[in-house]
Amino acid sequence: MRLKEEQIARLAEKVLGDLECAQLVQQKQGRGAVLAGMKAAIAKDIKQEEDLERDAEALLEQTLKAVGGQGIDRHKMLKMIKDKLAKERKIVL
Amino acid sequence: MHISEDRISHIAHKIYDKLYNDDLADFPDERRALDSIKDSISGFFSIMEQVDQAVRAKLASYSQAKVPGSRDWEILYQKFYAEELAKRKW
Repeated sequence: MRLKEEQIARLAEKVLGDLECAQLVQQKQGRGAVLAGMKAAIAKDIKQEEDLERDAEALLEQTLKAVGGQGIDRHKMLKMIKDKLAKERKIVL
Repeated sequence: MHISEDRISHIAHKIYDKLYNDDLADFPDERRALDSIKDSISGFFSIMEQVDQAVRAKLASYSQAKVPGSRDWEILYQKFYAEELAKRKW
């Protein structure tokens, strides 16, 4: 999942707007601070996912180099590596 | 842009925890607040998906159809994407 900064801002705005409409949030340090917190949380998670994807690609290349790459389903292998890294890093994909 | 239920739940918890742990907000009803956050995220991606499909359909039917992924295609995609969002007042 890739989101641009403006999309992250839009998502945060929607989440907060819906919480406000349903009166499910008490903002303690102002709306701007809450929005900034939401954006930071979303951006951090997406960055972790991007890092994982980059590392998985690198590991895949290393593995293919080591075994010659013949008869290996690249797509399947990448998914296995990503799942393993996600488990190690406690990231939900 | 597909996003799994687990991923939606995961991001919802991250948002909730960030606001609560940084003392930015309180939630009078934790369960309902989390459900609301999940619904919002799900709704957001549903709209993004609809916009993406509408833009791709428009590009495919464009009289001077471009090759998907090419620079021209990307430029038109961004232009139509912004128009589609504006049309939906989003």
